[in-house]
Amino acid sequence: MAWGYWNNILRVDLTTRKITKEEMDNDTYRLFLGGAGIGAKIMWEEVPSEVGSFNADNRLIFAGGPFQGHPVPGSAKFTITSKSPLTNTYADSAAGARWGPLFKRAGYDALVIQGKSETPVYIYIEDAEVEIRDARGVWGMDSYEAVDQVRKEVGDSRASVATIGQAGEKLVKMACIVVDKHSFAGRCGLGAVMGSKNLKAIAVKGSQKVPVSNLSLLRDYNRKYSKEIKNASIQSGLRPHGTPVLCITAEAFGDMPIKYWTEDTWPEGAKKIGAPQYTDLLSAQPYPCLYCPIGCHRNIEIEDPAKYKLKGIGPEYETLGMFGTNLLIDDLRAISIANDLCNRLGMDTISTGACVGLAMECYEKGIITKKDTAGMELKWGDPDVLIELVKQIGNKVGFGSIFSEGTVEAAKKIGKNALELVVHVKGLDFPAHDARACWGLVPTYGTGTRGACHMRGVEEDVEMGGFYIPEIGVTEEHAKFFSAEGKAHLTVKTQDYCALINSLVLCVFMPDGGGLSFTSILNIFNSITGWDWNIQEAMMCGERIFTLQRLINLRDGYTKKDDILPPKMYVPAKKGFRAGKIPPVNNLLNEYYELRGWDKEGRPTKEKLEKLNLPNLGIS
Amino acid sequence: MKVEVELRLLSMDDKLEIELKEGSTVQSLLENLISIYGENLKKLIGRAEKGFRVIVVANREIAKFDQELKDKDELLLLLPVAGG
Repeated sequence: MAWGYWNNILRVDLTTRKITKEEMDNDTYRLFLGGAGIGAKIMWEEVPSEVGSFNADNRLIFAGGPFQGHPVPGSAKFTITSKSPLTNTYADSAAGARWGPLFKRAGYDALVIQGKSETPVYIYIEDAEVEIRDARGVWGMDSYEAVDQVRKEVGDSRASVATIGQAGEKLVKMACIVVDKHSFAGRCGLGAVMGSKNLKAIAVKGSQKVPVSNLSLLRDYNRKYSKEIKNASIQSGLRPHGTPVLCITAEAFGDMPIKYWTEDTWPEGAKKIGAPQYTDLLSAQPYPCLYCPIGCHRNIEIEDPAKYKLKGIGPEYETLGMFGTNLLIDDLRAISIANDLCNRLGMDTISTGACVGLAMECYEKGIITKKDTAGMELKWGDPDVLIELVKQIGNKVGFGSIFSEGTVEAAKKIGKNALELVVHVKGLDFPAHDARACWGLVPTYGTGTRGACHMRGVEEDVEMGGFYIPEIGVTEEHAKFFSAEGKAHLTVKTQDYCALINSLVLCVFMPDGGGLSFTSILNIFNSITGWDWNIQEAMMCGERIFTLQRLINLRDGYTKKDDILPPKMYVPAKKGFRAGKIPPVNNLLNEYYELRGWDKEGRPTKEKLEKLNLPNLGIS
Repeated sequence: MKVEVELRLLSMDDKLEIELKEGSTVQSLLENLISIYGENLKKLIGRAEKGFRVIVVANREIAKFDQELKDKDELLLLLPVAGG
């Protein structure tokens, strides 16, 4: 058996109700590690292109990696992989809280769910005991109620529960998976895949010790690095203020979305919703995941006005961007309420914000009118519209139900030129970072294997001068705006790095914000596995995982034309930091393909696949 | 020479014009600003001895701390951020 692993996967077939434990060999772990890597391998082997996201044959894979099961800082993360209803191809999404470590301690490396139950069920895992339980009493509950109810039914308030809300049940395509009322696997609509299988929740408890190569060394590293990360995150502002600390800087650099990507600056708005105003107004406190020295999530409290009274999880930077500046809303309390509604319904706030932005823009341009909205005026800056549309989208009722299919499908139904207004890649809406500000985002979003995503290549933090990885040549030389030089290289490196991080599985904020070096990450890895890997071997593994995800995209029918950014990214700003600047999209992509060893159509070459130990997987 | 400086550092939000000696660098500008704003600024951006923790943008490009400033330079001070 490999250190750091159980050498098995748990498979649950919801159609046949068969539960099996399958062996996984050491070579597979050396090639794909865990998390997103193991997820990609299983998706490649078991989900061909003709299987749709809501088909019973689609898989839903919950996986940890070698880092789970020990008090490694940032190891609460785990990965969920499936075919996304938004992109119709490979997608992985990560969450934290406590599920990943508890699942690993139950004695499994991964959980593969397939089939479809006839009636609503949840899965309960307690070490070797695995049950499919009746969830008819939980179906219809919001995600927070479901967590409480499932914990009550399994008789342990400390069991970790990953669940969907009503949005997932109703197959809203941006539905997320909610973990312990605390953390969210937000992107790509994997909550809807769970709903399509009639699976409400997965509860876990685990009590076993994961075998480790050098336990005393691992303990030393955990203690040392946890302390260092905490200190660094206090310095970077991530611990005292959470991700809202980004707002002022991101807006100043023209990185934040303003009026659904049609305007350029809004410093007053960013100041009103970002830190330190956020921390003061919402009495925000850190709310760490298990083993996290940073605590980027926020617990907030609002007393007044009564209609916004709230105690619970506060919005993150991405939500502030997509519900705030994106919609010209600067009422932090209203944004918090809309965020809370999304959390309970179980919806990704990024794609939901994109839907509301698209609706407001269509309304302003007369593409939709009051006749379509049942009299609702979709005015920019109106928090009541945001709150109402969140309810309508999540519950699939009224005018908002058209957006339950996501921005692309909604725009197709709306017609006229609505599709040209959507800001997405491969069906996934842009997060709150503008590729016209950070040019490395052009290839990062374009070739992102789950669509437009800033967390699958954290290059924008490098360009903005906040994060470097010197071991792989990602240095302050890359912190240069409005220059294409070196940006394709930066994207390649950070994408491979992130594929590795998402397969270990480690929260990327440990390095990016917490200052954990690549060398330190490998120290932890080697003390667990005993493999004695160096940086080059680790990066090769990251590249292999990223490339396999790309192969799935290609097999699912995506081509070079789908790597192109949407029309708004070719419109220069009229004012502000990025005034008059536009990235050279085609040049950046061509250089990127070349650096990757892909052909001119964006396909990995046979030589490249052989080098990566991925033979016989090429697309003919 | 004179440079224009804008601070957007959490609660420290200000715009000012500063007169500097010829040959002044970004680092000497930061030291100058600390003499104006005192402990509050030091808390936010650190100290020269330990390395400042701030992004200085000069005419829309990230500047290095040893970079020489020129007359009429437009400078923007931001906190470096990571973790979106």
